[in-house]
Amino acid sequence: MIRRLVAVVLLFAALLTLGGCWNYRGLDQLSIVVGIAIDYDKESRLYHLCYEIVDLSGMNKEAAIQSKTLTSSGETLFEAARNAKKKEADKLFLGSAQVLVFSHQLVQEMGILDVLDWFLRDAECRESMCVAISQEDTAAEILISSEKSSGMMSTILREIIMEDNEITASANHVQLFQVYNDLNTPLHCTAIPTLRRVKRNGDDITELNGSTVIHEDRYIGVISPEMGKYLLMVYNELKGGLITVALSDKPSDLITLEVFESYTSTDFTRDGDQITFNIKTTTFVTAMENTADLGLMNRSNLDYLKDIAQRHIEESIHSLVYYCQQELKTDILRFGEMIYKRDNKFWNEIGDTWGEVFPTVQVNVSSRVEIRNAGFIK
Amino acid sequence: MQRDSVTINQGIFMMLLFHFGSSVILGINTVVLQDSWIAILIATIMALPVLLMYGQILSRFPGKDLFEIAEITLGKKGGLLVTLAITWYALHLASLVLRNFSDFVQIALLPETPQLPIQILMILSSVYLARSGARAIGKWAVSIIIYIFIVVVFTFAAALRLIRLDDILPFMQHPPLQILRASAQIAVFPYAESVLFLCLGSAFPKGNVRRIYLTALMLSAVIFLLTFFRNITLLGAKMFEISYFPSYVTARIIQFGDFITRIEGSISLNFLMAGIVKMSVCMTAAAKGISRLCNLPDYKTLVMPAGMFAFTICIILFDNTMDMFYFLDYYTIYALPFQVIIPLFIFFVAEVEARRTRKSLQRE
Repeated sequence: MIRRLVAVVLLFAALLTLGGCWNYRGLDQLSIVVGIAIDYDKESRLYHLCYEIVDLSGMNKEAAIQSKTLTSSGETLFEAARNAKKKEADKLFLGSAQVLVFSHQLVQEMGILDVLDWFLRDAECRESMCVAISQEDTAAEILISSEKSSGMMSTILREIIMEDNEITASANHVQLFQVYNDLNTPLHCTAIPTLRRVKRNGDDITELNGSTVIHEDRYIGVISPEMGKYLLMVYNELKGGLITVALSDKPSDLITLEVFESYTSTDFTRDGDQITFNIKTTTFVTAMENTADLGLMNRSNLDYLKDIAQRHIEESIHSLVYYCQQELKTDILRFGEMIYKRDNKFWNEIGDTWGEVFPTVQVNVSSRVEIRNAGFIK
Repeated sequence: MQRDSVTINQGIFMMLLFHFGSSVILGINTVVLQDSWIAILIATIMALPVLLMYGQILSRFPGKDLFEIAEITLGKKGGLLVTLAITWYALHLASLVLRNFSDFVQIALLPETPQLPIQILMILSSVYLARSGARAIGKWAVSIIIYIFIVVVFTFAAALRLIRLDDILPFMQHPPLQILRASAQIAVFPYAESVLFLCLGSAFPKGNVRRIYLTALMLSAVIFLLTFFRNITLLGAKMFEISYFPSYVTARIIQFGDFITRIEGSISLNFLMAGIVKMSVCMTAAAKGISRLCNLPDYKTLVMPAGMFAFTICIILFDNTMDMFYFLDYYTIYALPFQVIIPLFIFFVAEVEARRTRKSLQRE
């Protein structure tokens, strides 16, 4: 009998832990943050944080959930985060934050590793937050919803960024922990999606605009949305997107191919001091827009289109490589990481001078394109 | 009264969960990063003879526990010293596990909750289980092992879509000596901690102890390898290195589309349920030791005092979490006498004695 009684008491004691933490807060006592934008003012040495918070007041079944923004400042990030409580009745809950936007000034002047450190250290923030960089004067501008759009801006931004490699393929999405990892690999570089505000029909909206390259925690340059597609291809992370090719004899006539699958394998060879990387791509596409009026039922035309598409991909990857080697001078293509992982002994020899070696590496690209069909009509 | 013994399966799963207990929460070993899988394999090979030795000790004296065996082999005084040492180790290990869990809960789950109520709940559950006897611990182990297997397999499968396989490279980047050091750490924590099962010796089915030790070791190695591959390929080397609780962080990142997210609760539950097994075994060992020291017939009445003792040690054990992780570096040396030296001594004396008896029997 006593054992059963003890068991019941223990069971109820265990139930106590299911209630949540010591100072439990209900949903009505929380300000749920869905997005955070970080700016840094060098003169006042203050971090300015802008939060997009779920607006639970006046919610109804028909309308989408609305949000509001809140700003706070502090000498450190944590201080800035806590100072928000001075303006808001409820304590901010960062566990549902989906997007973290940095201003490009912060990236240029301060670097982001210290900021990442705080977000990773705080148990409430999630490592899977989607990271982006603002091309505008401040990061806060990015989180402001346009007048005509409804819903939460951060949720929209997350969907734009996370689904990009499947739909438009213009930038590689990265999560908080991946950025931290990338900046701590022997290459110390990463490419983070970049956002900007554009005017559309008199309304300001946020748009994904390629990636920002960071090396050694400093801003290096940008990768355009078009190049971003081929960066994704080199990473073997391209899952969709469109490839538009012009026919060589009639450049104004375009054919758009939709990518369904893409596989890339990369390896490297050494011949004395010369390192050569071989990139092989295989892309499965459908020809979905044929303004060139090319007869796709004709086998030779199909081979011709395949050949043009293959050359287009090869040239685009070569341009990307040239841009990274000569303009950015940063190994965002992760070639060095491949040497580091697959031939660590060799990496120990050249790792320290990789910055000088990288622009000299040769790159061979061979591409194979398979056209699955031409849509619903012949 | 029914004898308090466990079946083979119960024994295997108890030991498996004992290994699983607090080591998985602390990431098994993250010192040699992507080379940890080599360290896990070497540690398994290192632990194999040690665990077989434990099995041999119990097989040599069926139905007896370590304290009785120590008295038989080393005499009354020697046995007393062994009992004192192993009892202390069991209490200390229980308090270490308890501290691991309360620190984990405070850092990861309930940051504003004091550790005391967490520790009290945990210790009460373990005391209750230990008081219910080895058979109850065995039954508990069998009933939760299914859940733990499901969680490990599910998180592994869910992580497959997100992993980067080349994160297990470069191969052998760390010097062999460093990998061996990490292997020794894994062999000591958690494998050889199963020395405490010697104290439950009388509960094991006769003639199958070595099989239990061996199967539990192999299954643990498989689970550790799976857990390690999941963590390193999802987190990447740096995140794996800096995380106090890599498995938990991995679970925070894993998601199935947009509808199955935040599955870290399942991992926390894993830790807690396996941790209770580990603490119950420690508590049983400690209570048996104390009953032997005090010459009392029933160890079960001493489980609660043992639990309170472990609870007290736990409170004063470390100033902060950093100290707890710092101690792990020294644990290998600290645990060696309890895990290897004492059992080895008993093993040799028992074997020499057995051979002498055999020879004298042959002469007769």
